[in-house]
Amino acid sequence: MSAFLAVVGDVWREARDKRVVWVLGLLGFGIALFFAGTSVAPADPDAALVSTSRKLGSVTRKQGMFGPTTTASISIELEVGAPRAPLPEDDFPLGIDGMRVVEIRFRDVSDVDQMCRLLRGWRFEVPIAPDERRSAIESRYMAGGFGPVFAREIVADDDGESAGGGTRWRIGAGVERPLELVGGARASFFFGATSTTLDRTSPAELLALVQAGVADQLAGFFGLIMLISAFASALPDLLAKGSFDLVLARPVGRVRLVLYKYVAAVLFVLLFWLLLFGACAVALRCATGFGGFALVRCALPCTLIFAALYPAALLVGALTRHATLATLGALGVWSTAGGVDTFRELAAQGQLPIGPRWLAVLDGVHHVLPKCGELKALNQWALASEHLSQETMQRMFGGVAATAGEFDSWYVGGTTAVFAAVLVALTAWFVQRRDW
Amino acid sequence: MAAIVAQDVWKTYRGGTQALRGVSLAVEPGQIFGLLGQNGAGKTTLIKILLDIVRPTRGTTALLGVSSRRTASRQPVGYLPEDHRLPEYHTAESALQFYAGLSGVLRSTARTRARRLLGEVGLTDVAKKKVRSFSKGMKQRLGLAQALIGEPQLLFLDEPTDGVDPVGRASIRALLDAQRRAGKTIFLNSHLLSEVEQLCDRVGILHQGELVREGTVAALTQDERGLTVTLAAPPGEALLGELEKAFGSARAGAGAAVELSLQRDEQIDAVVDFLRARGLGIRGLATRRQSLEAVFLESLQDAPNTQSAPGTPNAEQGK
Ligand SMILES: Nc1ncnc2c1ncn2[C@@H]1O[C@H](COP(=O)(O)OP(=O)(O)O)[C@@H](O)[C@H]1O
Ligand SMILES: [Mg+2]
Repeated sequence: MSAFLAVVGDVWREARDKRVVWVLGLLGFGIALFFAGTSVAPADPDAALVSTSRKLGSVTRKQGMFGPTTTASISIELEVGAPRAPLPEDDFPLGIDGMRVVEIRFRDVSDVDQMCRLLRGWRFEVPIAPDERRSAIESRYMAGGFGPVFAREIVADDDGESAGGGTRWRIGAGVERPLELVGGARASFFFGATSTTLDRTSPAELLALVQAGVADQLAGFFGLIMLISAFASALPDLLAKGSFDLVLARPVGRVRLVLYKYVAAVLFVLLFWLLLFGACAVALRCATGFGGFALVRCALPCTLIFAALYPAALLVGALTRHATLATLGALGVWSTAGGVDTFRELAAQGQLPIGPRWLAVLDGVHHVLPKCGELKALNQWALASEHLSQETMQRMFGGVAATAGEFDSWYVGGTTAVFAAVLVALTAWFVQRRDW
Repeated sequence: MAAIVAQDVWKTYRGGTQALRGVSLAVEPGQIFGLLGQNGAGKTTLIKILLDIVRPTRGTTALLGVSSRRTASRQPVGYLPEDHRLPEYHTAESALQFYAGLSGVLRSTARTRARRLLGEVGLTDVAKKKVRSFSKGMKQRLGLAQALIGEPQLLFLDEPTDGVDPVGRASIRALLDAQRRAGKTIFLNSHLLSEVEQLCDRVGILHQGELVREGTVAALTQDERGLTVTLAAPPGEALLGELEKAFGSARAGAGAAVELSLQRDEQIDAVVDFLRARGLGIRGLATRRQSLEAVFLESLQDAPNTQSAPGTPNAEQGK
């Protein structure tokens, strides 16, 4: 135990001696400060209701969080009434938070059908069922941040109210999550120095997005590279001539030494991210009342990615005793995993003209390599799922992230752990059998 | 039970360098053993094999009865490697605590012990300074402190006074003396003969991977005794010839002195009788032990030159 603590202390001291770690910490502090200076005000529900209604004719599709966004629009002639409180004769369920009611009139039923087709991705040939019209309209309001949403077509027989033709709908929209309302919310930054009106996005999305940016870009990319490079020298330094002797003459086995080094580095990274994400989450929570545990929890997948790639640095570091090569080794595994992910995605979309043999090879490589992509998606999913409704998540992240919750986390974690374990074992074996 | 045992140890490095060729030795507890040898003789290799840092090609070694291949054998060990490099990001104090932890010393014990040892090697003032700012001599003293931090029964020192100034050397010697008085066993590698002579109880001479001599310093240096006889008048050629015939060797020394080398102390009587029988006046008699240096050089000459390039400078020593 005292040997383990000694190695942990040694590894941490070495890390603190590295400039990159301080740069990263400073960066995190800056981001926490930025979060502390950010505040948001939710949109007025009535304004959002009208704004959402007016936007029924344009559909925005997003592929992944940083994927392309396409907006398709059709021109719809639409009358939007004044929002009001629900009445008993509306026949909407009672007791829904902040429900507001609005009536809208399409010039023609074909407008509604066009909108349905737009939602389905421009597949014009398919006829639209009446039920689909209702659910399409409801989904549009949910995409605007309302929920639950009820749409009722007002049948024009009894009192001739539907004079003017077209098709009339009465929408009952609950407001369970005011921060998710799109249209008219305000956000201010730098302790109120600048502020802006959010037109096409909700404060919730904005905040989830900046958090995802911290988890994905700061930690998942920049931070990962920096931490790997900071710890890459750990083994080469240990094995350096004149330095390993001092350690080897102690009653600690070499395998355990390698293991301790690895665990100590991973622990440092975990603690580092917990602190940094924790500071960001607290700042965000205090400033906006939004955000919290999900961001802190991102420390886990971020650390897992490090824990999966770092063994490659250990192995290359032991073989070459060269810190730069060790860093490159880990980054090499990372980019290979990323490349394989991209190829598989392209192949799945039919954009990659390769045969089933190669596809099987790609799948095989993917099984073996650490699942960095999936872990990253888990992050986004964790972030979003804690604060956003399913609809908003789908709208924000699209494809992978929205389904990340359905990943077999045993498979992702298991194969990643096996990869790491094999590389650490190889490193230990090499260090164990050599003369130093 | 011997403290340090090596039995028929052979080591051929990858690349074919034969560093050790059948070395066997035993060091008793409480002894200071000095291993002498030129650069590249295999001294460092032997220590590394004893500590399982390098694996022998053949042969076994044990420390206090535990095979070197077992981790536990290094529990009672302190080691000062030659050309050691302490991690630069450590301070003197934290480095000692790190090595103490690896040796299984509890944190609180390690702290007080580190402070005491830093005092003993004269580094108290720089205890909180990073190793990277240390001079070579300071690093060497810190190296000695790290070897002692586990309060070892066995101390392995590889060229401990290398690169240390005379004052530092004296203080290192004092420290080792204290260890000896505390009953510790010390295994010392050196190519500095005087150092070994001053410190060690037993000496081994390693030459091209073979242990060519081994014994107590007294026994090794008393193999032959030098005798200087100062006569009343300078000796003539005839006298020297007769002396040489009778005692093996004789030559004229400074002034009226005759230098003889004898095999046994009793021969001194015979020499005196021999001179007195010829009516020669004796004004002085002095014996001198043969220096270790002479023994060392002699044993190198005696040893068969089995390697094609004897005394090849050791590339790794780089001195
Ligand atoms: N790691 C190594 N690999 C190959 N040869 C080595 C290695 N270490 C030492 N040697 C060789 O073994 C011989 C003995 O070296 P060493 O034990 O360091 O001698 P000494 O300590 O007496 O100067 C030298 O010829 C040296 O070049
Ligand atoms: Mg040496």
